[in-house]
Amino acid sequence: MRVAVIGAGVIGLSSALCIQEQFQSLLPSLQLEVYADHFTPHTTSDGAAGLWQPYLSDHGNLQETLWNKETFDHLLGQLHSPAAKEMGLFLISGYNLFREPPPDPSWKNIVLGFRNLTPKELELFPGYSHGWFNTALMLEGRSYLPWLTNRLMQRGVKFFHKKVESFQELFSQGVDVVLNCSGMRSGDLQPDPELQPGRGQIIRVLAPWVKHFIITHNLKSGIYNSPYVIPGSEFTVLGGIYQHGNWSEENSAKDHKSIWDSCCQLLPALQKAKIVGEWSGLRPARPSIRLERESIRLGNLQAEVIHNYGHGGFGLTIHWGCAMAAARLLGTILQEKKQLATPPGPRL
Amino acid sequence: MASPKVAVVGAGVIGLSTALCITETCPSCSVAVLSDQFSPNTTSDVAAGMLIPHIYPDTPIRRQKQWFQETFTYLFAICNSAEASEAGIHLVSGWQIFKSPPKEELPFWSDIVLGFRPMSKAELQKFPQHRFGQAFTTLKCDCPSYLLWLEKRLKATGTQMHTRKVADLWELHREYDIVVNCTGMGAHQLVGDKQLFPVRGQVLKVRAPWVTQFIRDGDGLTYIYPGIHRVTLGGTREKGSWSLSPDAGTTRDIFDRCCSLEPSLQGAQDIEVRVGLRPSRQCVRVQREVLSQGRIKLPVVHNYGHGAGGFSVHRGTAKEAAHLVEECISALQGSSSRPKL
Repeated sequence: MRVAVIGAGVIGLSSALCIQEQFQSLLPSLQLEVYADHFTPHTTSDGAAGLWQPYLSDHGNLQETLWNKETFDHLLGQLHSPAAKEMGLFLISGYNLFREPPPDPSWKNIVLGFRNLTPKELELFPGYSHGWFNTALMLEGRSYLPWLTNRLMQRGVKFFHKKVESFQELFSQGVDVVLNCSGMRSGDLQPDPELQPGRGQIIRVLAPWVKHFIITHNLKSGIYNSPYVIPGSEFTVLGGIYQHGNWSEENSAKDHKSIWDSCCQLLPALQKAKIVGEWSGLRPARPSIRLERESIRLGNLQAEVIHNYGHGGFGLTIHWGCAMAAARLLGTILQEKKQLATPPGPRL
Repeated sequence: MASPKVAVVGAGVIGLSTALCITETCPSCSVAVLSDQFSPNTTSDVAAGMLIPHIYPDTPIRRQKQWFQETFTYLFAICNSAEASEAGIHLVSGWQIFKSPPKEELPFWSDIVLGFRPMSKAELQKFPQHRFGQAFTTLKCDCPSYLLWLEKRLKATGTQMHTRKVADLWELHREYDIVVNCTGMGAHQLVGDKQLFPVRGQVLKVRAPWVTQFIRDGDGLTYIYPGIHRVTLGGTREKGSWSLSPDAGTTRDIFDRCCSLEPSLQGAQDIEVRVGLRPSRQCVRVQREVLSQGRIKLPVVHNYGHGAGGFSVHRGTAKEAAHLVEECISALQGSSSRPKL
């Protein structure tokens, strides 16, 4: 039973690991394969700062809030394990800032210690009238992806460095199920007008005195179009760009200036920070995540694709809940193919 | 007195901040800092510099609160400015945790630090051996940055720094009009203060940049304080011990205690061991005194004995000491011309 995962970002690798953990022992004939043209450190997941935080609103999509919660709880459980450091996982506290009263976020009861900011705290951020403080998690892709890769390799998962041109290509080679975790470029495999780039640009600086994340919000301009500062274990990320429909992965001087000026206004001491890098990436944005089965007729064969893409700017935040859901879908497929008596794992 | 000459003895956080306050309240003063040690070799350099007050049994709480408030306000303004990184001042959030109910639910400083509140059950799950906790955000003075920044500001005012061991305050009476004694533990010898005693603290300074939260065990003995480049792990409180040599068994013990609160510290790199003697006293001595030999008088202002709380109250006590220096100047100007040998 060959299961091929297309994509080696956080979604592809975590889906592969989840499947491996749940099915390998039950199905010794299971052969997992990962196909990608980009591996860590060249994936979108590697460029992201790694802060666990969903968007402000789930737009009534309770499913996604549950997946976010599942991911947070799963990671919190790993915090004290010896693997945490290698995974790039650690606790971090910080601020969300607003210029007008915001509605409570969908994740207020998921994070730790969520509360409104006191007047004294707001003095730190002139121009912002409301805000939240909470403790959340960092999961740095540059560490997490290699950690996932190592575990997968140790368990016999095979990796192939190639660009898959079509689902057909894999099925004709004898793959039984394909997991489509191709993020931004899912459209190359199957057109999806709902999938659009949410272009972001970030500046990496050395500012080790910054111990909190600071995310500002402009409710009118939309998510991530307002400055943010996210300290990581090696450098601090400055950002605040979200350009819907922009496919450019080139760093823009105009965006650089906008990020730099707005972040220095937020934290004047950043003027002294040394710039050590810059990066642009495309958030695979979609009105909702596409996480579903699709049966494709190929001749007299029924080929199965499990789609798991469109995680926008919250892939790391939601990845584990989605990986578990994808694994459940595979379980159903395996049951239908009479490979398994009943699908294992918890039912939603 | 046109330009009073003031000698500040001691170049730790107390000496430097007191000297700076004197230049602010008395711009006509000519100030010099005399010390046998400067950063990074002072007791202050060993300390983590966290703004969490230590309680002095014999100082009225109102006064301690004022000192802490003044210090917090002063550093808060620096933290918000472009100078924050150079001065080494940054915010840090975290938890103080207790195995048994804390003596005070609301310590006197709870309305001065930011966002003080009890920890939630979910937060306490991180610490299975502890049942109560307080979460808050406070400030940290990272050394040596903060001391170097104070030195830089002092030099900009024309303050001279002299490496010099002062064996007796009286030896300064010829060159200086007023002496300010900020010698910390040195006051035991220098002015024979037997109420001053060392409380030895050993700490580890490690590289662990993924540790962003402070953790302090309510007993004050075990703590994890993330600084700009290093995390300070502590500690010990050995009353009466004068030893400045690191103890290997103590190092192991501190590391184990901290790892039990924060397991990821197992991966910490580059462990540096430091020892400091907290200059401890039942109350901080911020006081005027006039030394005299025959008809010669030497006004002295004492500012020492801050124990475990030096950083937390440094600016408040420095301002008080600077006011006492002003009083000394008034007294000198009021009296007839002082005979000089």
